[in-house]
Order: sequence, then structure tokens, then C-alpha cells
Amino acid sequence: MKLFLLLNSLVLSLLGSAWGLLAGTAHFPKDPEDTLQRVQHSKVLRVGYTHAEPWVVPSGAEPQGIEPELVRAFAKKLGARVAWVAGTEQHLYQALEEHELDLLIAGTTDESPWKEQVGLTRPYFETAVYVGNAPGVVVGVDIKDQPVAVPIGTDIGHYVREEDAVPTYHAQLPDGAPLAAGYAWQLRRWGYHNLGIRLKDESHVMAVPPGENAWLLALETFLYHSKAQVNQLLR
Amino acid sequence: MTEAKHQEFPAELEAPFARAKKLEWLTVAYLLSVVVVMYLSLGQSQAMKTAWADDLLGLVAPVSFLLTARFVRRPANPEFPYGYHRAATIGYLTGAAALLVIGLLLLLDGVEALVGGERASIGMVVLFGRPIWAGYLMIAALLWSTVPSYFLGKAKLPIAEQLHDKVLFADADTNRADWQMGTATIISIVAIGLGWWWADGVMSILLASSIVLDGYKNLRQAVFDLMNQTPKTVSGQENDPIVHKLQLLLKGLDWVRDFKIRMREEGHILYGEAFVIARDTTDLLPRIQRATNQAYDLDWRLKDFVLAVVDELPE
Repeated sequence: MKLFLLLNSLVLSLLGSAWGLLAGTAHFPKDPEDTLQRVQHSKVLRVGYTHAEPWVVPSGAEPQGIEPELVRAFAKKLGARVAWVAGTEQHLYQALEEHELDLLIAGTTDESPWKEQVGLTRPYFETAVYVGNAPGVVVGVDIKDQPVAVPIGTDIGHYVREEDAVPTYHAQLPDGAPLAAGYAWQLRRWGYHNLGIRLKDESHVMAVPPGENAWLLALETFLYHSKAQVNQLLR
Repeated sequence: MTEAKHQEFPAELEAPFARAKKLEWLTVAYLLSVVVVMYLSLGQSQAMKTAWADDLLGLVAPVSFLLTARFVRRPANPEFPYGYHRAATIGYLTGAAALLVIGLLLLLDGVEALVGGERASIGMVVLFGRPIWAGYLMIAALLWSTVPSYFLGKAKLPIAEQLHDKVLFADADTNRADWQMGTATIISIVAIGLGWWWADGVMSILLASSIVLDGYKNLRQAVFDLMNQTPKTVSGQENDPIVHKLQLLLKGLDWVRDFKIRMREEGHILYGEAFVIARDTTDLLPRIQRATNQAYDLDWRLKDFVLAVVDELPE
């Protein structure tokens, strides 16, 4: 207890000086590695990306898709240009963890296995995967034993099986399938009717270097104010 | 008389006991609110996680107090001839063990965070439609975990002394000291905001150390109680004056040549016996009766005091 009392007097004086510091500067919170300041001064934003359709679609020198669009808008707001780096997710995350990248987009959700090693933004977009039927296709009361088209190489097939339906795998959706799984906004885009069978929830995030809190806050604030833009991009 | 007197508290302590129960119910409700509020604002800060775990652990003492309060008052019966008083000590032991183990786990976590150079990311929350830094929300949650706690602890402390309740005392002491926990955690959030990422690990280690220390102290006391250590004051620092009072009482009896007293605690109350070598054996029965009654008048906690006349004192 005595130790704690001593600690407290120390801590209270520290708190005092911290508030003093706060009053004197507008920069709170701060980045231990000054990422935000560096991006603003060097005018270069180093962004790692991987192929993660439909969120990140590699195409020529610059990736396309919702997340690259958002990143470009964020860079513009900071007065910086984007230096794009394509790579595998592991390498990019390792680079991000060591502050060799400023931002990583890979269609990441809040369930990313890297969430302890890096900083994840709060979800900038929450969505879910549903089953939809093609126009003109008549569906019974449920989808039991019916084939449902899913993108190959994803976990959607598993959720389709959980609904007692049969997944069929396609490189490109909807591929004319009578029933297909997709995000609500994808079903709308394909002209499919959403059956309301919810397969999986996803909360999409972006990743930044660990503990760079001014940087994280700047990105999150930007994403928060970009909600309208996100919805427009998905239309 | 083979079964101990069953009533736990004398009439004048019934009101404080009722008040203690009320305060502990209040504490449970309050701590639940703290745990929820803290959980909602919980980020990656290790110090914050430790503080949260501490608040969760804080539930053990009031819950074990309320649970045992239902048992300790049960009358003694042939199956449990000494009554149910020790239920309180068992509750105390359980809580202390939990405190120690979780404290050690948190200590390990803190060391790992510091050594591993883990940096807590604290981002944005939206409060009333306005985006703010989540650290401010954490600080607000931490203030809620400290200020009411301090007053709860202060209210409970004198009642714990009155009732001679060690669980209540430990709980009150923890509540009272909670402001230190909260302040340390607030400092670590501010430090993260200032870019001193290491402060988070350092603070979480300090916080966990204090949980471990608390757990160790309480566990020791609970084990000692169960091993029939001679009665101690509620704060556990000194020998209970009751033993000395009994010695004075027996010394004052002219028919007693020599004696030896053996006392133990059963939760709130005291059991014990005195072995007495009589100088004069006339009217022994009424003399023993009178001495026993005088002993009972010394302290309400003395519930079962046996005065045995022997030829030779036990070792």
C-alpha cells in the first residue's frame, strides 16, 4: 500500500504535467513513431494491398475497388500521394508491424488473426452475406438441398452447408446460377432478389502500424465521415 | 450443551449487519455496472484490461459475503455441532485464492506486453454523434470505477470492524484503495496518448502486482483462520484483545491456581477452552458456572467457552 501511495503522488504529478502538455498542443493522441506527421511532411503514403475481391481488385499499376478508392481519397485529404505495394498478406502484415508500411488493405475484417500485432480501425463498413435468387427463379420455402453458387476459395461454402444447402463453386459470380451467395449490395448489383437468409456477418476494417494512435484516429475519423462515399461506391 | 449457541450477532449488531448486506448488494450492482461500462470501452491497453479484471474480481468478496450471510446464521445441529460459522472463512479463502491466481496471470500478461514491446492501439469512438478519441471514453469509464468505489469502501470499513467480518473488511479495503488502481490506469491511458507506449506495460505490471499482493495477504489470513490461529483483529495486524481479557478474568479468580487458554475463530465468532487447576475445589460447579458467564459477558463474539478443571495443564 505504501508503495502505491508513493506511486500515486508520482503519478499525480505526471498527470498534471500531461494535462499541461495537452493544453499547450493540439496533438493528442500522439504517434510513438510519428506516422501522421511523416506522411504529411513527406507527402507519401505507403500502402500495402493484396487481392481481395470485391474489396481490393488489382489492376495495372493501381488497385481498384472500394478500399483503394477510400485510400486514394484519404491520401488526397492529407495532401500525399499513394505508394502502392502489392504482396502476400503475411509479408505485408510483418512490414506493417515494423512500421515499414503506413496502411494495409486486404479486405480485412475485425476477425483478422493479425489484430493483436497491428492496429485495426473500427469497422468502416458492416455487411453480411445472404442468399439471393436470380430474377424469375421461383424458390420454395427454404433452400434445403438446393444448389447455391459461392465464390471458390472462400468460407462461404461452409455457411451454405450449415443451411443444409449444397454449395457449387464458381470463379465468377453470379454465373447465371438460380441461387447465389453474395453481400447484400452484390445481390442488388446482380439484380438478384435477397431471400433474407443471412449466412455470415462481416465488419470491414483497415490495418495500421501498432500503437500509432494519432494516425489511427485520423484514418478512422476520415472513414467515419466517408460513410456516404462507401455506400455510393457499393451502389 | 453440545451444540453451540446459534445466533450470530447480538441484537444491537443486527442493524449494522443489515446495513452491511445492503451495502454489499449495492456493491454488486455497482461493480456489474463498472464491468459493463469498462468492457464497452475496453481497447488494447493492457493496463485497462488488468483494471477490468480487477473490477470483475472485486465481485468475489461481496458475493461471498452475501452467500455466506445466508449460511452462517443456520443453527447448529447434530451433523454440524459447531454451526455454520466457518462458511464465512471458506468464502474468504475462495475469494483470496481467485485474487492470487488471476493476479499472477495478469502479471504474466503485463510482463509479456512490456517485454514483447506490444503497443496499444486506441482509436476512435462515436459519442453522441461526435467522433472522439476512445482514450477519453476509457478515462470516463475509469472515473466511474473509482470515485463511487472509494465512498462504498469508506462506508463499509467501520461496519466490518463492528461485525468482526474479515471478508467485509477485505472488500472495504479493496474498494477504498480502488482509486489508486483507477488513477494508475488513467495515467497509462494518458501516457499512451502522449506516445509513451511502454507506460502501459509498466502500469499493468504495477496493477497486477498489487492484485497479487492483496491475494497473497488475504489467502494467508484465510488459511491461518482455517488452521485455528489464535484470534486476530479484523485487519489481521494484532492479537485479538479478547484473549488478554480472558486471562485477566481467570487471574482474578481466587480459586484458580493456574490455567491455560486456547482460542480459535469461526468466522465472526470465537470458540475456545480454558484448562484450569483449582486451588480450592469446594463449590466447583457454581464457580465454573459463574466464571463462564463472566467470560460470555466480555464479548458477544465469544459463543462457546468451555472451562475444564484438570490436574495438569496440557502442553
